[in-house]
Amino acid sequence: MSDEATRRAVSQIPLLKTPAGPRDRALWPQRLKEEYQALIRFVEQNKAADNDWFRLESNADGTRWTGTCWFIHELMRYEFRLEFDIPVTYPDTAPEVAIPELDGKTAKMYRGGRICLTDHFAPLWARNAPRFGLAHLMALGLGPWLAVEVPDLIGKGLVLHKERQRDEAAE
Amino acid sequence: MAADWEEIRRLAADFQRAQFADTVQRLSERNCIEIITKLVQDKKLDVVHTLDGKEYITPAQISREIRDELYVHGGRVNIVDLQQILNVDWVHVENRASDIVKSDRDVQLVLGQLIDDSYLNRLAEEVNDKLQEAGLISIAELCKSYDLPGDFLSEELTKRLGKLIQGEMDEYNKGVIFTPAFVARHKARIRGLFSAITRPTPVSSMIAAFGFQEHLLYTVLEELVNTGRLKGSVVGGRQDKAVYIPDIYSTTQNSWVDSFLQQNGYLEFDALIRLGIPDPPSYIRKRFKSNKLLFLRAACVGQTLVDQVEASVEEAVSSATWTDIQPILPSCLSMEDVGILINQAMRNTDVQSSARVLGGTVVVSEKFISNCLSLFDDAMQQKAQKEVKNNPVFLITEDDLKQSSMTENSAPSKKEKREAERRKKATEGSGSVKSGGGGNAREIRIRKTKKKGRRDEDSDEETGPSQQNRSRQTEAPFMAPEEIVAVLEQRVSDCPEEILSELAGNLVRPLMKAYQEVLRAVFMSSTSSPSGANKKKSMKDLQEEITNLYNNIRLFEKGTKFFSGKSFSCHK
Repeated sequence: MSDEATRRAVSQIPLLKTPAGPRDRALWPQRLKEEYQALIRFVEQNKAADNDWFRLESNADGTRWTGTCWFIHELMRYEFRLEFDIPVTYPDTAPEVAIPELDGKTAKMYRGGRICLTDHFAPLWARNAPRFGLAHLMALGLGPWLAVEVPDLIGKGLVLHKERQRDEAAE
Repeated sequence: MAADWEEIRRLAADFQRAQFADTVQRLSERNCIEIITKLVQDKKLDVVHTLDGKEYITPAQISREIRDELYVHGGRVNIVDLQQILNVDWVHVENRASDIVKSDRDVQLVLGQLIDDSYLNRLAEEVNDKLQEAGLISIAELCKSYDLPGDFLSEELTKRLGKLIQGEMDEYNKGVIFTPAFVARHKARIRGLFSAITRPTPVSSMIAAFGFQEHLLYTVLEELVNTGRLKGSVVGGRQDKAVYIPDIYSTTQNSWVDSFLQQNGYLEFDALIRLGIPDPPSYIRKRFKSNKLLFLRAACVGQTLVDQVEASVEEAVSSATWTDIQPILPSCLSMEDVGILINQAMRNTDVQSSARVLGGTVVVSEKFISNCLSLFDDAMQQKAQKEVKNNPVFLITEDDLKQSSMTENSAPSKKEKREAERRKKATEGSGSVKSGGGGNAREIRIRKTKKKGRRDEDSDEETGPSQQNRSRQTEAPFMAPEEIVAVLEQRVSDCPEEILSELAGNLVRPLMKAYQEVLRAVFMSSTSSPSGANKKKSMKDLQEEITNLYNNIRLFEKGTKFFSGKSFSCHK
């Protein structure tokens, strides 16, 4: 799935070793550390490749993550908020990334703005659990989804650029 | 556990830092190039890209790098090399290089190479080393070894002569540099060598034999000759054919020529050429301007000799004898020259008409020749008499016949008639032989008579009795040249053989003519007187006889008329 560049980027992300979820008191910190290292590595990579496209931040125990992601289409930057929880069964179950702004605008989305990744990403994740982490989720899950959906939404006029929104509001 | 969480917090912080760190704003190479091209187009940026397109470089940097390279390469660097080293388009390198040359007086652009003064100084030092070693260095050689143009090198080296280079340059020939020692050595050799020369010597052969430097040699030689150190002169300028002629040689040459002319009265051109005088006539003309010399083909002759010849010619003419010029002329003169000389002398003495030249060298006066002719008078008379007696027929020509028929009204004698008839027939026969066998028979007979009358030597040639031959042969020869020579030999003493024979050759013709006349005269006197009387007498007799016979006929005719027809029977 996805393009060659992504594939290469993903192959650079270190695989995680500790199979532990948030409930596993003993090993969760270990897992969280690995998650962070992988994320840092991924972000550094993106920045080095001039391909930085998201910001993430977690709560203290690393179970809820929030941030923004953006997509550049026709020289316009469309930015969306995103959020997800680490499921209890993590890392066997992939987290469900939600983009609340786009809720109801596209068919490929569950209620509450959770993007629909079942088709391609879920089997991939299932095959690679528990070695895949959040970085893989971003790279292989959200990234391709945005690349497919956002241009489509913009084309349909469902998503407007913020400046234009402002313009429209001013009108 | 707490440590773990601590670490997680730290990692989270790291993560945030990583996220908010400035993104490296990457422009693709293509974009960069486009941007820079745009800037360059707008003249906002002055850069030059390298040939591989990987780098941009400012002109100032090119200049700096050129200077650096120049320094690294020891003060001399080829622009082509520079271009390869800097990896920038050649045009930029050249522009920068020329800018540097313009702005910096120490740097020069020669043959596409940047050369600075330090290099030239070092070069000059090297040259100086070589010079001190060899004593002489030619610019051409340096050009080759340093691969620089000669003009540039000689100019630069001239600037450094006396400073960095201990040596000097030939004024006339800028191609060579010498050390003073070398020059002095050379000078000494030249002085010695040319002092020793006693005969004209081509300078080029000296150069070849002693390995002199040509340009230096000429300068030194000129100097030495001009200062009088060398007694001599250089002829032919500064070329290959220049010849050094020592004074000692030219003085001896001149004195030899003078004394030879004085002693012998002539000069042979060959001898002068052997002495090494290239153009004898002009040399002689120059040297003996005042003397009147007669120029011949291969020699010239002094006035005294000419006078001598003239005197002897004059003497021969005036004394009515002959003279041989050969003994008083130098033996080396060719026959041609002798002829010219004698002609000249005869013209000078104005005796051309009264003398002639025989055998090339002998002048014979006309008087002498006529004297010789008179020697034969007696013999001629005798011979003529004899000839007439032997066979007068043969001597008479057609002219004679005509003459005789006109002068003598009486009928020609039988003999003459026959002769005339023969001639007529013969002339007809010469056109076309129509007389046939009769003509031939007569021919043979005539030949016989001719043979009888002719001399023995002539009788040999009877094979071709053609008409012309015969008519020519009717001129009776007087004497063969050999006989004339024999007679002359008896009469004229101390004459060389060949002169006599030539004289005889000259005499044959006039003698023959004279003889013809004498012969005719003798013949006339001998034949005409008796035969005329005879002829007259016989004519009278004949007339008388005829008249008698005629009378008889008439008489008898008259007599027959007296008889009638009956008389016939009566008679019976």
